[in-house]
Formats: sequence, structure tokens, C-alpha cells
Amino acid sequence: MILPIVILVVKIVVLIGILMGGFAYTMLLERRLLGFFQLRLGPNRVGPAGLLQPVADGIKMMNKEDLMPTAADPWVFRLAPVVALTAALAVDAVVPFGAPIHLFGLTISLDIANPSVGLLYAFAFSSLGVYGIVLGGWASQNKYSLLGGIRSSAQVISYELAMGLSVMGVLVMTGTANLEKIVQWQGAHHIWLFIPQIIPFLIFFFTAMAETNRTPFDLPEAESELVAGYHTEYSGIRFAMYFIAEYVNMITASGLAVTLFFGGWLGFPFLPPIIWFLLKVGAFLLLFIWVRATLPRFRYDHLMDFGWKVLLPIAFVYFLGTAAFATGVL
Amino acid sequence: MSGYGAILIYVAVSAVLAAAISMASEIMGPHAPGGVKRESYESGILVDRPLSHFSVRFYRVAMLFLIFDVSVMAIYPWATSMRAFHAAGFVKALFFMVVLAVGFAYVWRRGGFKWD
Repeated sequence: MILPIVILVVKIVVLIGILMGGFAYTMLLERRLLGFFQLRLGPNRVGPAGLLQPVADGIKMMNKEDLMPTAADPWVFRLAPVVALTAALAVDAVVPFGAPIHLFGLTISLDIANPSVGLLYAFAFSSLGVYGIVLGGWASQNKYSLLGGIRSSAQVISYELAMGLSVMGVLVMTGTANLEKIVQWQGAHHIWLFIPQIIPFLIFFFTAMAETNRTPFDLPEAESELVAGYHTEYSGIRFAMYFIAEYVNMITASGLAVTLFFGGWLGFPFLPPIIWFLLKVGAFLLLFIWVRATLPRFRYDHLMDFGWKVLLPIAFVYFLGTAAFATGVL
Repeated sequence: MSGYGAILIYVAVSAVLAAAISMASEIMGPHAPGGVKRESYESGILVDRPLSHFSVRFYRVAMLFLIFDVSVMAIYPWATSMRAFHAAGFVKALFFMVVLAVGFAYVWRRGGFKWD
């Protein structure tokens, strides 16, 4: 009885550690790479090659004065970043980081749990993150924040249908929504699902960029028009929490894309499965950063049209085609 | 520890951690009230009343989103057990898909996604 609890505690600590460490160094990597993209060096002063920059940033953020506008709604203002970060962390409970390992005669799966509705759970919690942004934008009682929050809600109703339909082909082919079984299916059939599902994968990737509020879909933030969007009024660690949430969401979205379409932890045997998983996630994070350095921002009515009139019909038709093929109608 | 119990504990830990982190600046940071630092960020023009009403033009799209999102949720279990249904199950459920597609096409044609 005591052993499962110990294992759970270890898993939770390790997972949160990976996500927080992942956040810190993804952010540093992004700042350095953006620097190189823009022909400058980026932060390289704190520690060797700037490696201690995240620590310095964290300490600085914690020691800043916490400001709240007098017009703001004090409780919602305080609650919003907590919602954003909790939702971001919660999604990763079902993402399998590696093949199940055998220890002390027990089989330990490398996720907090893998319920049969794993994929739905992940989507449900990743959508909840929007509340953090909308509430934060509303509670600030500032027009830029409010516009950012409203854009965030506009964004969620634009991409989410296409995102939901884009993974449907994976469900049809594997016959399960359990993320661990989806990876095992890909192992058993010696195929990564992006090969038969390349178009749904691209749709998933576009919508994942919208979900994580990354360029070209960073409309809620939109520095050049909305000051800083929904977190204009935030300072100190609450301001930082929105960034933690954004980067954790990025890691999660990469993890989901890898699990669903790129064989999760599967790889050649010379490296352990968890390393393969982290390498693939890292590749996706690089892609996210590269896209940010390359593309300008969408207008949000364009995004709405793009989601409803382009991505949604394509995802729907591709799903029906996959279903027809899988059941032998075609 | 069965699945959902573990998830519940993990989410609770995440929430407590997030709440604890969010208090850091209030506890560790300086408190130096005064000046204009608690005014809303603005171009210098003071807004005398906080924003209370804002016309959200895309409310119609939002309602359509609810309708279609619920329908998509209904497709999930069907998609997951697709292989068990074989061709007959696919053809029967296709009826539901056609209704959805016709509804979508109708809304599109009537300009349901126009809002500006």
C-alpha cells in the first residue's frame, strides 16, 4: 500500500521538476535563438553562456513590487494567473514520457495516470487555460487587457473545433483515446501516425500554436497593438506565471504532438525511450521558436475565418476519409 | 492508486504550488505605495469609470461554436470504436455527419461566420 503512494509522490515531484526546468531552459533557449535570428547575442552574461539567466530572472521577479491597479477586481486578479498555471501543469498528467519501466516487480508507467479518456482529459484541461487569460484580462479593468482577454476567447472558438477533429483520425486508426496505448499501437504497427495522417498533423500543429498563444497566433498579447494584452497590469511573479504557463503549454503541446503523431517514446534502441521522447519534444520546441522568429501575426477575424472555413472542413473530410478507409467502405 | 485519484492529487498539488508561487512577490517584494503606480496603464488620459460593458461582436460565432463543439464531442466515442462497427456502423453514423455538414454549410451560406 505504501509503495504506490511513494511512487506517485516521486512521479509528481519529477514531473513538476521537468516542467519547471523545461520552462526555464526553453525560455532561455528561445531568447538566445531569437538573438541569433536577429543577429545579436541574446542573454549570455549570467553564468557560463548565460545558463544561470533563468535563476536570476526568477529571483528578480520574486523581489519585484506586486502592483495591482485600484480599479482591478482584487480576487479575480489574484486568481487568474493561478488558474492559468494550474491548467497548464495539469494537462501533463496523462502524457507518457517513456515506456513503462519494471522496478521492484511492479510495472510503472511514466505518467501520473493513463485513463482511457486520456486525450479528452488533455484537451479539457488545455482549454481551461483560456480562463486564466480571460479572467486576468477582465479583472485588470484596463482596455488593453480586456481586448487581449476577448481576443483570447475569440481565438479559442476559432481553433478548438479543428483541433478536436484533427486527432479523430488517430482515434479511428488506433481505436483508443488512451495516450499510452496510442504509442504502443504505433510501435506494434511500425508506423508513426504522421505518415497516414500528415494533414491532420499539420492542422493539429497550427491549432496547437494558437492554443499556446504563440506567434503567429499571439493575438491576446500582441505587443505592437495592445501594449502587452492580458498581462499589461501584472507585475512581479504574477506576470512571470503567465510566462510559465505559456512555456509549459508549449512543452505539453509538443508532447501531445509527439505522442499522437510521432511515436511518443519509440526510437532506436541505442538510447533509452525517455531520451527519445525528450529529443522529439525538443525538436518541436525548436520549431515553435523558429516559427516565432519567422512569421508575422494574424488578424483575429482572419484567424476565425481560417479556423472555421479552412481547417475545420479539411479536418472533417480527412476524418471521414480515414473512417471510411478503416471500416473498409473505401 | 487508481488513475483518477492520482490525477486528482496531481492537480491539487499543481494548484497549491501555483497559488504559493503567486504569493511570492507580495511577500518578498517591496511595498512602496504612492505616486501613480496603481493607476491603470493608459496614455495619460484618466478613465473615470472602469470598463463594464463591451460589445462582443462575435457572439454569434461563439454560440455556433457551442453547438458544433457538443456535436464533435458526440463523435469521439464513435471514432474510438470505429473498427468494431465495420462498414454498416460507418454508413449509419454517416447520416449524423451529413446532418452536421448540411447544418454547417447552411450557417456558412447564411453568413453566420460574418461578424464585422
